[in-house]
Amino acid sequence: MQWRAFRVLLAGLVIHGLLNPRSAHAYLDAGTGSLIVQALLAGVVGVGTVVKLYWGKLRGLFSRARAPEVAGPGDGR
Amino acid sequence: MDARPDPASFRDPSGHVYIVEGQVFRTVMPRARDDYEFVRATGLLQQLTERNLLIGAAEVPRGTLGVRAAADAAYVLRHPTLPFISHPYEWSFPALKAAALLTLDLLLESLEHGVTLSDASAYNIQFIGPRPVFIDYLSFRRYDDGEFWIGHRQFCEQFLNPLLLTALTGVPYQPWYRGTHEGIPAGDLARVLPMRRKLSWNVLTHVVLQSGLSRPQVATEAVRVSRMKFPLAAFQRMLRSLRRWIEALEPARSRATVWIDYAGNNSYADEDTRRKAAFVAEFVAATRPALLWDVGCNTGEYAAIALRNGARSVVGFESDHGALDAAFHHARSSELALLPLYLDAANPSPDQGWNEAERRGIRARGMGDAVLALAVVHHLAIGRNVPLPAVVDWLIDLAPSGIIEFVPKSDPMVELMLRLRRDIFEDYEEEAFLASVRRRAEVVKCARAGSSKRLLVWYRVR
Repeated sequence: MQWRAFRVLLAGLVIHGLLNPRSAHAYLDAGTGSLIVQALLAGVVGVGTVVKLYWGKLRGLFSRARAPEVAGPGDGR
Repeated sequence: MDARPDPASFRDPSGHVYIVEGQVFRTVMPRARDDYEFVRATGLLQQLTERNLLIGAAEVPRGTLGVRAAADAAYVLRHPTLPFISHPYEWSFPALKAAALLTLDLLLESLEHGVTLSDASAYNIQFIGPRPVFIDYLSFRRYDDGEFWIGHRQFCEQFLNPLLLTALTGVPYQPWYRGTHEGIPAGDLARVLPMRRKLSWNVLTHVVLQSGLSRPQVATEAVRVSRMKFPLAAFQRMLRSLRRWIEALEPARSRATVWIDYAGNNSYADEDTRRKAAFVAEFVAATRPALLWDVGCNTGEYAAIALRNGARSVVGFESDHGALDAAFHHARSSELALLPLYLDAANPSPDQGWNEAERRGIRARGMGDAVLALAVVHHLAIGRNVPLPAVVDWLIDLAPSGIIEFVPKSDPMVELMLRLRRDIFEDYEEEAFLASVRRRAEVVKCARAGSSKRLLVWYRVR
């Protein structure tokens, strides 16, 4: 349980600390979806990457339907 | 003095707003000094202020703001006081749209000066009449080449998604927005949009993909992406594309709403309307209110009369969306100092947000100088079953003087309301209404609007 809490905390720190290195003084969290959508619109990430990431969501749905998934970061609520 | 910042001013540690004896101050804390000085030197703030897009500010000696925190501040600014503070969930569709466009325009113009906005909160905007004005000086900061738009998600939640809800489904966003007070998350909107609406590129990217990719499993990829360069040209292109999209949005309403045709289709003969207008004009000329509340303002006809006769500004309350939008367009096209807001008198905006103090309810935002309540009483007393004396008390508590109209049961509008329900309103009659007014205030003058049996009462609190 403690290990799980530690992993969640670590993941949280990584996400918050590293998400916006280009705007260290921003007080807002941009959000993962917002960043990737902007990158897609700017053409700095490809449609393929986004589809793969989005597809991961769909696949996650199916696999969860079959078997309970291993906790990922942020699942510690 | 150990005054605390305004209860809504806590999110950004760059500075805080203080309201001291009716004057509005903003501190710029040392952490924000460099950005503030950089932005000020570009001349952007001054240009925006001259064009009335940004509220004015004067740097004053730190001692002017007699609070302890001011001693630590790098700068203290003093802003002009606004006639009325309103919240995005009270704004009509065209008002929220105007505020969204202003945010995009300011960001586009800022980028030309090497400046960006650190957030995209709808609460950074206030209205002076129907004109949106940006109020947060500390949102402006130096643009770092290649940085992403940090405010994009907030812009979507507080502007784009509410507008899309109403434009694509016809459901008004105001009650939902009031519930969250931070707008509508993309994931929630995506769940209620019909499939065919999701097929447009704009909805697909800003709503469907954004919500689908807002999850912890994508964080590693997001971190990688955030280290990439987001080219300025792409940033500007995205902002312009959002601007074009939002500018074309209109509420999806299949038919005229209940009250939109009211002005041209009510139970009043023309002569009656003229007498009512004259009575309003006389009242306003005598009382000259700085802030007049027009409860049930409809499309703003009587607000316009009040403004022509000496009211300095009018805040209109209306719960019919068609009438509300029409009032906003009316105010804009006729350049009236009228701000029509969405408000259901039987359920007005409460104190809410953090500590229930962040977003103040209608009462906590102070009294008006005068109130107009024309053709409102029967909607509350019969339409919503509020006891007649309670309706009168509520209206009189809004302002020390005003006009309240009593619409009797014999009026065709009330007859219509009672046609499908049992008349349980034995006490709903003129004498009881007058007695309720007299219990709280002095009746200065009464008038009957011509042939109708409606009674207009001018009251003044003793």
